[in-house]
Amino acid sequence: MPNPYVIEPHWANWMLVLEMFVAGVAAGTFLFIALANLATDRSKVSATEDQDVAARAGFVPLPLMLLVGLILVVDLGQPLRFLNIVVRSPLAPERGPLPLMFNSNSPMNWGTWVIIVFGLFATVAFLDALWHRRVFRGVSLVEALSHNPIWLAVGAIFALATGAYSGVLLNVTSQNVWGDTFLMGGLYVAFSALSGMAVAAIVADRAGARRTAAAVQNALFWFAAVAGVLLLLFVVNLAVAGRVTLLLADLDLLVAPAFWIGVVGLAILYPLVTYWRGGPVRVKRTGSTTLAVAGYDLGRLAIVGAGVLLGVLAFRYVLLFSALAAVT
Amino acid sequence: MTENARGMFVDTSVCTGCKACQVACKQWNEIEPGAGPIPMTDEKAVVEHRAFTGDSYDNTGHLNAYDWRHVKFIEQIGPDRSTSDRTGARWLMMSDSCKHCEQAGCLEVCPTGALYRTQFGSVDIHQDVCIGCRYCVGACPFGVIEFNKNTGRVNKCILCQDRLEQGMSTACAKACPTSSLTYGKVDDLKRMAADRVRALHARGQTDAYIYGWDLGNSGTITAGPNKNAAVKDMEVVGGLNVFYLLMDKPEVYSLPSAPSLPQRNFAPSAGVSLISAAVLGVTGLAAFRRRRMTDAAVTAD
Repeated sequence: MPNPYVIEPHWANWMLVLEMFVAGVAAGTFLFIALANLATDRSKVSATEDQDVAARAGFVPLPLMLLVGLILVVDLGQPLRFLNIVVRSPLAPERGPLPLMFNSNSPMNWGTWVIIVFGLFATVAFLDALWHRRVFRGVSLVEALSHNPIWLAVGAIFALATGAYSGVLLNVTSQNVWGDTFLMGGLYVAFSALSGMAVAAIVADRAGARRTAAAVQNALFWFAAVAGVLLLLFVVNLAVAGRVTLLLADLDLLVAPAFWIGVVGLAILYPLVTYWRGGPVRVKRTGSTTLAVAGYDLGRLAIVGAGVLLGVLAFRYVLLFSALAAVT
Repeated sequence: MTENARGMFVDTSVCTGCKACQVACKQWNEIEPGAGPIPMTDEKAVVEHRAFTGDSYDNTGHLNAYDWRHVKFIEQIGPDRSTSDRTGARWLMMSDSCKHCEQAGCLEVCPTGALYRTQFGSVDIHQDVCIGCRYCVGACPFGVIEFNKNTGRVNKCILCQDRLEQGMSTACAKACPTSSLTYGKVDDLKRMAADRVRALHARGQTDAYIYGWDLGNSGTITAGPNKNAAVKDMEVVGGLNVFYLLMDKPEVYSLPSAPSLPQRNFAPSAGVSLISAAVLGVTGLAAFRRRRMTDAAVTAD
């Protein structure tokens, strides 16, 4: 049953669907870059492939994060006011110890700072991608940082936090569906990682990096599995709260079809079933601890990646509009 | 509770629905008109609060950016209004506004400090600091605060902060002809409310109880669809500085019976995110580490 006591904050709109999708893809792509650099076996040929694909993927996070900032400012309608969320307004009635604005009770403040810090990592990844393309030379610091394990690990943490942030933000409301559960932060980070790996699948496939593609295929499977488990828990949680029909059966705003076809079908089942059926990249065991790529359907992994991205876009739509569906 | 907090006691048992409070609020605060002569069949107008309900003396429907005070008309007449039998029928009236909660969800999530606790314990909005992010709108469990499309900021009752600073009472309480609205120190108001409930119970009006603070009263509803249902005082979200004497269940007045602060989800949601992120990190690393590919030539497709 819908909660009749609340006012919808007009967050359920296509601008914010796009903003959350884009931010998630940017964060997930950086996670892939970090994983590819941190986990690769540098003694193998695959390390070169991994780093090449990671460098290509480095072009993705920064432009997307700039787009996120643009969308948020446009959504607010008045660009300069955005500064009040970062720098404490001199007019603010309550003073703090710092000139910077930070309300620890507000997920929006946490998210703003997380996004700003993540922007730094996205910038370095972008410069590194330029460096690899030999567009950008010099500043050895960029090259040193972008492959530094500590830098990558910290960047991955901020990427994951960027992925989770908007889910936590929606959880901390009194709205239908959003406030009925505490699993949306987990769901958001899982779908963010999934979308990043989908980008990696497209990039690896287009680059013809078979060994990296094999790893991405693995990761897609595991991330889809984690997202699937969290989605199931989320649905159970909503069922207990008596709101699950708003998500699973609403036809007015096409929330239910988008959920079943997009989220369950494309984002979760498509990569899982593809993997179970052998996948575009087939590997064979060549020793007790080694594998080799035995077969590769060029193009198919990119199609899986594109399908997953569409599914994640549907996920953003479903989660945002389910609150609105509840009151129509 | 803020020391010497000021607030209002809303005694619905004497509200006549005259709407003097609604008019006084609009006039004192110079609030632009939100409603107009547009029927509720215009869905866009309904969403934008420009429509009259037209099916009740309750014309504005609910609290919004243009109606910081709203007199609710609850008509317990039964589905067939053509019958002359009005046995058990009754009208309940209630003047509603921001509750100025002791634990205010809107204030806690505000990312700019535009929403703040005043020296009177009320929750005010600094319009020049508000960025119109609408987080407070989503956070309020009572649906009080709303985005004003004309200003790009949010609005709600501010307990006539400017009047309070001059030692005056709120405009609505000043205008109320039946003392349904009483302004004062919250501690004094709670004592007044407890006395009022006891007086009503002594007269056989056992429906009366307090919504906002638990003052120890309990009773039974005497009329309407919920006749014979038990009711008792309830403290919600740490207490309300604007609290109510009700005569029926909270839901009848469109008040949630168990409102909760959205912040209750913050730590669990962050925790689940952390665990999920850790699982994703480990599985991601495993997916890449597991593939210790040989450098041998790859079999042709």
